[in-house]
Amino acid sequence: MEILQWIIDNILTQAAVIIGLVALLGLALQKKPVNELISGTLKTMLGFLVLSAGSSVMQTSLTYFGDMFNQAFGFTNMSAVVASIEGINGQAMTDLGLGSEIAICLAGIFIVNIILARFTPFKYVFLTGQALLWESTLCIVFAYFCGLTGVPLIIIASIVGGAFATLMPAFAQPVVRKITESDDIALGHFCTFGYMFTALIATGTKKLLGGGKAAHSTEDLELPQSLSFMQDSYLAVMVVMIPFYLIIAGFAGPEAAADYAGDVNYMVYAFLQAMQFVVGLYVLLAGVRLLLAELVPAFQGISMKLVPNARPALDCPVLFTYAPNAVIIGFIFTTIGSLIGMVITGFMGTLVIPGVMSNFFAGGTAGIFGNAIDGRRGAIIGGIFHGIFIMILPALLSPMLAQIGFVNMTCTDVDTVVTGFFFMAIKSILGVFGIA
Amino acid sequence: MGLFGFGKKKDKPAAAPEPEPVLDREAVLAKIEEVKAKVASTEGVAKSNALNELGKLHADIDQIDEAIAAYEESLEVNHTMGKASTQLVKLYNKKRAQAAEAKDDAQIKYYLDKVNEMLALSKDQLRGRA
Repeated sequence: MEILQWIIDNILTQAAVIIGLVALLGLALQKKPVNELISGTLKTMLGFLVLSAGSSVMQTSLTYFGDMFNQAFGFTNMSAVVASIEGINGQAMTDLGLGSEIAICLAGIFIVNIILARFTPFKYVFLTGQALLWESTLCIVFAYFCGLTGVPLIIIASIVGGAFATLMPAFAQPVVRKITESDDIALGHFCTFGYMFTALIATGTKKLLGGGKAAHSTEDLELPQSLSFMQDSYLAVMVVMIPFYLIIAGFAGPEAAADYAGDVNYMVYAFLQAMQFVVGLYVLLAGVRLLLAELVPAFQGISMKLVPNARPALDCPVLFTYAPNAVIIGFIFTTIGSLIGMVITGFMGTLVIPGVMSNFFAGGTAGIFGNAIDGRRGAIIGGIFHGIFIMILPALLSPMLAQIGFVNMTCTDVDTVVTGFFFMAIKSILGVFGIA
Repeated sequence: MGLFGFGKKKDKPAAAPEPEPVLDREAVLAKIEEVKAKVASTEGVAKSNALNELGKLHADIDQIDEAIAAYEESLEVNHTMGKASTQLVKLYNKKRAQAAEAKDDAQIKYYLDKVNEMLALSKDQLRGRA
């Protein structure tokens, strides 16, 4: 009995162990041989520890960034946050100590998704592992913030996450059907509210400005087939982060940075800290990949077997091949929109630094949605509005994230932001009745 | 089923396409032979287009494996995004659904992996790596 208690107290409290056990369960359900059970479990645990290491590097850089920002612009009462869902996940799993809950909730979301796909008319099985990890993170974080712990926390978070995983592909399907000219596959990427907002704007431009020449598809344009500057997305993140760090350090001045930089020149230090942010992101994402490499295929196989007639909701590149030009246009105009959005968020009190990585995928997909409704005009105008939209929503959520304990960071993928709002709405409604 | 029935009305044509005219299998098979000759006699983009045509004909008469082979070859000949990639995702998914009906775990995994490969390829193509 004592031994059991010792195991519960010392081993099962470790998030890495719990995550390993979830992977072990997934692998065992697939009847994998013992050597694969062991290697898969260990690799998943390793993934979690790599993720923690990346998160801590990123956070050190962000603490410096936030401090410099306050010293430079503190008189304006404005704070600055970097939009990175990866970073939010890293901080939640490590510093907030919610790693075990997030991992179990990930499995819970799969289960709820399978049940809903099997027994409701919404036949969608969400297969994008990373997106599910982000959703699981936000569900757990906000349910925890609402005061839930233990089993109720995991159950409620899994139900909400599973509902989002089933309903978001359904929400996007009318437009996806139009894009793919079939009903075989669905979109599984938690930026759906942004895509549908783009479609709404494009519907508006079509009604206001009419059809005709302007509504020609983006695909009639002659554009390069690829964005070679995006060959390395980390390079793109660097290109954005370095100027921000340098400008803020420049305004804060050498005294502000003295405690951090020591003998190093304060501008050189700012440059190196911007690089450290990218290092953290790089390591964190390597960890996420390791963590999901065994978990996701295990659950993908099981869910597609249990609901054979479901549409697989796949990651956004599934749509890229339908309109590659729209992806490029969507990316460019979403970036322009997010710069406008950044200025607006400054006036709202929390300056949001755009997440480049999500701009590429979310912006590109938004371009396809805009194009499907109103051609190149829809992709351009819709893209700009999409860029503004995906900056304002995370800015609205950031005070709550700060209250929970996140350091200078906000979400990117807007469905996860909506998840946060959903929990907060429930909390306030319950508050009215004096329950929470 | 879509959520809230958004855009249901105007999307109806795409959701429920005109019933396909009944295909004359013999005619399609004859056409397949014709296109096969075209594939053999062309190079580059023309060959890839011919292979796409071949893939479509096979798919029309439910010869999914043959259709997949044609589209895969087309993608090998011409690495750019387009018809071959989009059709392959759909066909792999069809095979995956058949495997799921037959409860064949190995085949489900095989075709899910194929779909995932296509997603990775489309990411790489856009970044100019493929």
